[in-house]
Amino acid sequence: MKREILYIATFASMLFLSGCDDFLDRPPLGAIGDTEAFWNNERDVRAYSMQFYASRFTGFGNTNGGGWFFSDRNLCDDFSAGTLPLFQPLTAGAANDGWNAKFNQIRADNIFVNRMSVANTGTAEATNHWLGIARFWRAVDYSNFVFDFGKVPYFDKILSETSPDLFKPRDPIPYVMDKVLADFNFAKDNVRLADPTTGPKGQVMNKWVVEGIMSRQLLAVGTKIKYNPESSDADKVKAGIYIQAAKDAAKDVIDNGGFKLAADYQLLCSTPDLTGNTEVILFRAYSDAVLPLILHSVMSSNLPTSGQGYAGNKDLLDSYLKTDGTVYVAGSTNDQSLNTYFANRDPRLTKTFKTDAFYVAGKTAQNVGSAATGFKCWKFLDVPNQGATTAQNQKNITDAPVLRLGEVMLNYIEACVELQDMSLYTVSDNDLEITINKLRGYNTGGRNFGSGVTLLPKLTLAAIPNDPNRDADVSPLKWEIRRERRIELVFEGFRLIDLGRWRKLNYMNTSLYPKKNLGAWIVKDMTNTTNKNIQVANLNGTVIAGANVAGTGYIQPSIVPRAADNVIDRYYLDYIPTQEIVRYQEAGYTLDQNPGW
Amino acid sequence: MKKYIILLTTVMLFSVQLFAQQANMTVIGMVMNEQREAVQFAAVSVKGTTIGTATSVDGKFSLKVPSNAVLTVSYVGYTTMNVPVNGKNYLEIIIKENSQLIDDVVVVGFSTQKRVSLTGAVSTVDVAKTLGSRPITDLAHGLQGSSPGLNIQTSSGDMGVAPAITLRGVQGSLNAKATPLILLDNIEIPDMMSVNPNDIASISVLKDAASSSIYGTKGAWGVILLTSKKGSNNKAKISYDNNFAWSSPQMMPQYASDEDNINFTLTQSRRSSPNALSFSSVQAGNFDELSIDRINQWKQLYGGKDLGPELVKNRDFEIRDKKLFFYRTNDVNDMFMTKLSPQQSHNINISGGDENTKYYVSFSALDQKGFMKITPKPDEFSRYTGNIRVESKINKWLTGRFSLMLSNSSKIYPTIQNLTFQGAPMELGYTMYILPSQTPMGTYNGVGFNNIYNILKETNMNELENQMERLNVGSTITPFKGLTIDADYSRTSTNVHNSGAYYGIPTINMNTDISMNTILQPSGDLVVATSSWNTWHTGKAYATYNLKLGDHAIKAIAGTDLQYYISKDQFSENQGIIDTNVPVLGLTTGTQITEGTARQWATMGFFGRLNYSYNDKYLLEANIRRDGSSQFPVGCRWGIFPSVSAGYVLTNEEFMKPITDNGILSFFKLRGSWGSIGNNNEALYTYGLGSDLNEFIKNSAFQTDYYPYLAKMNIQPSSWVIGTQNINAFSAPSVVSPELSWETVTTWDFGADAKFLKNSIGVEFDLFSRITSDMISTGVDVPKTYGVSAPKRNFGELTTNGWELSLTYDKSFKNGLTINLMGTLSDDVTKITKFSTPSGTISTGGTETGGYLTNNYQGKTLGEIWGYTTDRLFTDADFSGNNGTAVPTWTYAENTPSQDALINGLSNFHYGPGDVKFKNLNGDGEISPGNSMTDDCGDLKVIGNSAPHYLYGFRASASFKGVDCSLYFQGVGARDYWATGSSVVIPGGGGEPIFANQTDYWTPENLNALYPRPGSSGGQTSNKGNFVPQTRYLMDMAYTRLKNVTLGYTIPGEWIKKIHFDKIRLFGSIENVLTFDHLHGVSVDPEMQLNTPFAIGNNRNFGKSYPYFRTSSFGLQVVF
Repeated sequence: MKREILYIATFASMLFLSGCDDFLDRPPLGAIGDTEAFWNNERDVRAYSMQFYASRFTGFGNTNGGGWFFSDRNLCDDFSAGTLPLFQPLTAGAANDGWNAKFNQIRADNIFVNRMSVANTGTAEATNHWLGIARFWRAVDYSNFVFDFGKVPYFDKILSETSPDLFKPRDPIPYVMDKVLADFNFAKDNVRLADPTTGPKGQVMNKWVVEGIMSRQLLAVGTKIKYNPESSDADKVKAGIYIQAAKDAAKDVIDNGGFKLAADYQLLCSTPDLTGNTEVILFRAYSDAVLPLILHSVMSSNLPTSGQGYAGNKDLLDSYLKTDGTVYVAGSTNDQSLNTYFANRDPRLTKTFKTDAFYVAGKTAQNVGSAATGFKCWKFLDVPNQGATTAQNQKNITDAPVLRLGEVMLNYIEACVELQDMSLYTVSDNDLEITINKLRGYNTGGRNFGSGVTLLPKLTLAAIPNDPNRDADVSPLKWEIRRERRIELVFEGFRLIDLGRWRKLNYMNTSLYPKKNLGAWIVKDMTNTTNKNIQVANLNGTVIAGANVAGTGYIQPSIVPRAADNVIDRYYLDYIPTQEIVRYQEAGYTLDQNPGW
Repeated sequence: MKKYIILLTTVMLFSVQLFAQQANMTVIGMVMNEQREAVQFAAVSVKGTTIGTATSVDGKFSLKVPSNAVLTVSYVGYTTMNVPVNGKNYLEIIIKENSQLIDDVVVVGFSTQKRVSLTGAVSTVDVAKTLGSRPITDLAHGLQGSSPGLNIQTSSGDMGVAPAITLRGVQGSLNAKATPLILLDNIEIPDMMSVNPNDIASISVLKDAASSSIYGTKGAWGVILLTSKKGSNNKAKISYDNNFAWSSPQMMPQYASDEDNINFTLTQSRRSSPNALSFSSVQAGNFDELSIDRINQWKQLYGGKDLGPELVKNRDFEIRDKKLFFYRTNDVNDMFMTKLSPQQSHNINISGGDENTKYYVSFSALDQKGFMKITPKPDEFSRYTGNIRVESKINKWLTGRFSLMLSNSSKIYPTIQNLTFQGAPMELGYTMYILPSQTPMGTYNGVGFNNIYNILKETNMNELENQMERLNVGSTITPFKGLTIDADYSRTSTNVHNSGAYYGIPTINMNTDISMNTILQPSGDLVVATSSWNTWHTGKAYATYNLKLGDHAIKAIAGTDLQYYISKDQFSENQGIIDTNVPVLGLTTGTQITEGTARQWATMGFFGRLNYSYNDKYLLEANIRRDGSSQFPVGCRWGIFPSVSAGYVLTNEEFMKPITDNGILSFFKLRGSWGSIGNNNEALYTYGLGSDLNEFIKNSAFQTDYYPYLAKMNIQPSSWVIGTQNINAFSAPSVVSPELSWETVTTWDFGADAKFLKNSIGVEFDLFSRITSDMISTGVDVPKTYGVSAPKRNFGELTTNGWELSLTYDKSFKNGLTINLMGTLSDDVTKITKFSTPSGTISTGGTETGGYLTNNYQGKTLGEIWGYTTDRLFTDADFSGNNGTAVPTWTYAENTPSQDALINGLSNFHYGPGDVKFKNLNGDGEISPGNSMTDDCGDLKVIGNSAPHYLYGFRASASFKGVDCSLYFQGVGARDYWATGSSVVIPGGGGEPIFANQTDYWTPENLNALYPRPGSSGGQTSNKGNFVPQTRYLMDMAYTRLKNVTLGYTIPGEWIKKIHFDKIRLFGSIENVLTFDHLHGVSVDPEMQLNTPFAIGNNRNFGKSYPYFRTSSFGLQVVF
């Protein structure tokens, strides 16, 4: 009996104490982890890099919006609407999705950068190419971050959940931007001219994309520092360096990128396939032939039958120059007729807006397809396919230009002027020749507006128009360059950023600038139930006739202005989430709030 | 095999004969009960032999025996007696009644145990009485109310859907439902759907850690042990039974009259558009004042006549003011649903064997038709099962066993894509009950109008197939007396295949298009086929040693078990169906998409158990387990989980003898247990039924996370198109805790078992507390600079406290009447007792749609519903006036707190007379949710709890002279639910019809109405206006249901013996007979849950799912 018990005890304890970890090693069969097994060749690295594109370069957005173009970015002084969009929020919130999202992006960037030291991509050249791309994304994310929030904590390594660095205070803007510049420079020097395996030109990263985006980002932050009254002299010296880098990068793209302005300006934002477009450096493709489908709604908002609740205002349309090179002056009877208002203007006007009618609610053929201001945009309309299924809302497949030569030219010429301001450069006529005048349809590789179209005259240093409405603190040349940017890139999502960096958010105040809440000149039709309720005003924004009152004047889409109480300096920077400030405090650290919040 | 059985039988018979020849005397005797009445048909045998006989009608027997023989006397319901002959020729044997012996032996982990010596919380289900001849299609439905603490919930009455089974509360951890491990013959099965209820011999429910710990990690939330029928060492028996049943929907919501409905909609629409002349309905064209007259006119002329499907212009509808008006009315229930749908089942089994070999073979078939009347084929659920079990004693020390189980079920159902409304997939009932009665459910020029009725007529029928096969081989070795070693291997595979399609069906848009153009609805077409293949390999080996030394009995078990699971699946979708009659993957022209993945896990455990009992009085059991799981990182894989339990049988004490002998208290035992089990947070994945084809199935198939330790890089389409591809991209790796490990589930249980009045009354009571600690929950609070949320960690604690009571009464009377009563009652409350945040965001209404497992905070009671306290409906006096416009804005009177914070952006709505007035609980002069945090909740408070409480069951059965009958009640004592939608409260627009119980709404003439003034704030706009979660319209879901009534008749033995049958029984049975609820006419089944795939996030779907079945059946059982 004893022996039997002994047997059992031995058997039991053997079983109990032996661990069979081999049996429990069951690696995932359908998932991959962040291990050497993954970072094993260029294909893997490329697959990681693909996550960045659509989130950073949203183009026309996805299905319902979320992009850069047209009314997806309606908060700016180009648009008016029945209710003017306002700056939000009114007070600093506990959380801020923008703040969270940036750190999420930066984590992905830093993992990318970090893994390039272990990744097996074959050659040093390949490793540096991918490292360049990784650093490019980090530079893009940090420059956007700085633009939105000012000072931010800078991290170039992956944090652990217990790291004290999690409570790092905000670093000075130049500290962060020097890192950004270093990242951009590394990317510029190492990213390949073309990725031989990923796909056709225009859809993935290459040296020209790096330099084009670099010019955009550095110009933005550089000018924002320059025009911020709180910047120190040392900061402004740094700003000069960033703007210089923007200028150099843009110049390299213009000179050596091999891109050429597209012949038809209207086709830039309304083409089902931008692959062959000579101007587009990077675009986001849309398709109903892939799964999951990648579709958008921007084109449908430009259909003849689509009402445009957000529409270009009179201030925008007036800013298109006349073909004699002079500034259009509002207030004459010219405003009142189609022929006199739209005739003899910058040829880009008719490529952007329908100039065959004022599209006023209640007056157009089917009582649909009107615009809030009467100025109907068709910049995004793919005319040959406007009757196709793909023209329906949420089913559009036109490609979105993410970066095009036209913008790079404008980045370049603006950088030149800003540097001239700082006595770091002297603008030459040649600078205008290779940029603005090409955009106006001159020179080899210039835009082609077709025969019989009267072009704007060339812009030369000797003959800068004098706009009576010019801000006193803006030189005539800079004023015209900014006008050119507004016109050329209209509705492409840049305007609010531009106002922010130029320190010109007050343009958004429609009490100060009444034309930014005005539209076409109309005679109200009191027999039409819709038309009779439109409010009309004079050029000063004074109401002539409200709803259901007969009258003649300019459409005033929004009854409520966007006034000084909304257009406040604090909106130059986003707020730091108060919850984070408290978190820092509780841990014995400090996170300071942005001014005005 | 057959030859072998015959051979064995021959050998056995031969040996019996040899033995019999050694008999050398005849003993005559009489068997009596304690009342000294003769007991007939009692079995009398010589112990250790097969020599035996049965007593005659007068209780007498005569047997040739060896002079030193010991006679064993047994009879059902009586204690078995061993009587030494001691050379006597005449014996008077008195046997003691003992009803407790009917369930004397209880199946427990890896062994059986005498019920009296159990120390853990184990309850058994009387299979014969509980399942009996009920027309149930699956086992789980049959177990509702059968065991205290066992909570079986169904989301709808839909066929072939496995009910959710939980034990002692709904959630065991925030990561896992308290779903017990279900074992069929000691091997796990994913759910009870694939089991034929007729194959089950016994069911035990192990509830506390001490009882279930031997099963390790998966037993963390208890274990349900199913034991299947096996062969016996008797001659072959064939048993056949069938069941023919007819089902009707348990409850059919009835619309209010056409007149009431149109009046309602006009009243509702005029609140926001007082001057409009007509209103458009989403589903039924337009209506205006004239509509009532025209509809009545139509009814007079054509009501009750069969006009065929074609609608005739100016008779059934007309065009006025360029708008369509419909006058032909339908009974929606009648149009969609059949009133009687057939169901049948057949079971046949053959069992038998001899001393060495036993076998059991069974086959069953079930076919159940659904209620869908209009689909091209009826919806249907069918299942076939087959079983073979053989056990054979190969030699003195070795027994081998083999079993094979096959099950195949198939469900045919209409494509869900067609059941969409405003872009979201909906329940069938939802799309059906938004159709006003004048909805044109017919055709015009042969083309159907665009509504769910016409679309369902041509929908594709999807098929979901579920196949299970299980092979088991095992052996028992007995090397020496007292020791047995069991080893078993089994392989279970479940394969699931779902195929479906949807395509555009030509319809006429009757809302806006008076030109009656044909459009395709739904848009697009595609074929989908998904498959999953899952295989479990299970190995178990354990040794059992029994030792009895005088009054000390010791039983020791030690063993190991291994499990390995591998699963693979694929998803294929092709667009562009060529022929909608043949929607298969191969016949398509459009875009194709395929996906597939695989996953695996393994667990391993070692266990030991020691039972000690002294004189059946002091009982002690100790368990220890060491568990490993592949789901934790190396170094954190293993955990040790001990448990102990003890029992004390007072009635076995000498000093209790006077009390036990007089029969008042026959048995009393106290027991207590403490134990812990590890939970590895493994969410066993099962396919959803009736799911949204290309989203739900795919998502759930690909999202199960078996690798919480792996910093995963997820692959998904990048949304960046290059060429013809939406290029795949890898995401940044997730963050994981490097030391994630087991959650520990600790259970305390104190119980008492007692029997009174000669064992006829039984009481079992348990008090328990289950604490899940080191719960894998929200990570540490890190600043956002980290870039992601901190990984989950072992932190937090969930506690469930509860009690369970069961009462039984069993009595056989002298005249042959037998009565059995059984009642169960249980309750439990689950709270978060430790969590990273002390206060949580309030999700009002907080049921499955949100807040049940999210918005957690320390101190939260699971299921709590936050809402406002309703005062009454507003009167004119509550306002100081209005602004006089056509749609006026009212100004609150001085003493009326403003409620405008509750409008929540609802358009066209301001509170006014007739709207719901809430109580200002915090006295701050306005009704508001405060900061919507539990510690700053404004006027919100907890107004109810959606977890089921006070679950009960009651069964009464009796038999007399071959006639048997039983009644079975089941219910829930308390459960609240916040839901909206037109089946619960009045709708808020779009022409949705009201139901018969909803006519009591506020009008200037009806100030004391139940429902507020109709308007844009209706049932759809949950959380806004009049229907923010609140006390007034909170549903009381408590109910009592007469689940079953059965009446049977067994034809007397003498008659059927002549025709060589052992038993013939005829029966009739009705399932879901009657329901008593507190819903006051609201068209919702009180059992309803909101957890079907598409109802998630859509409160207004509530109650509109597939109806429950009321089933009447009759059948036949024969044994021969």
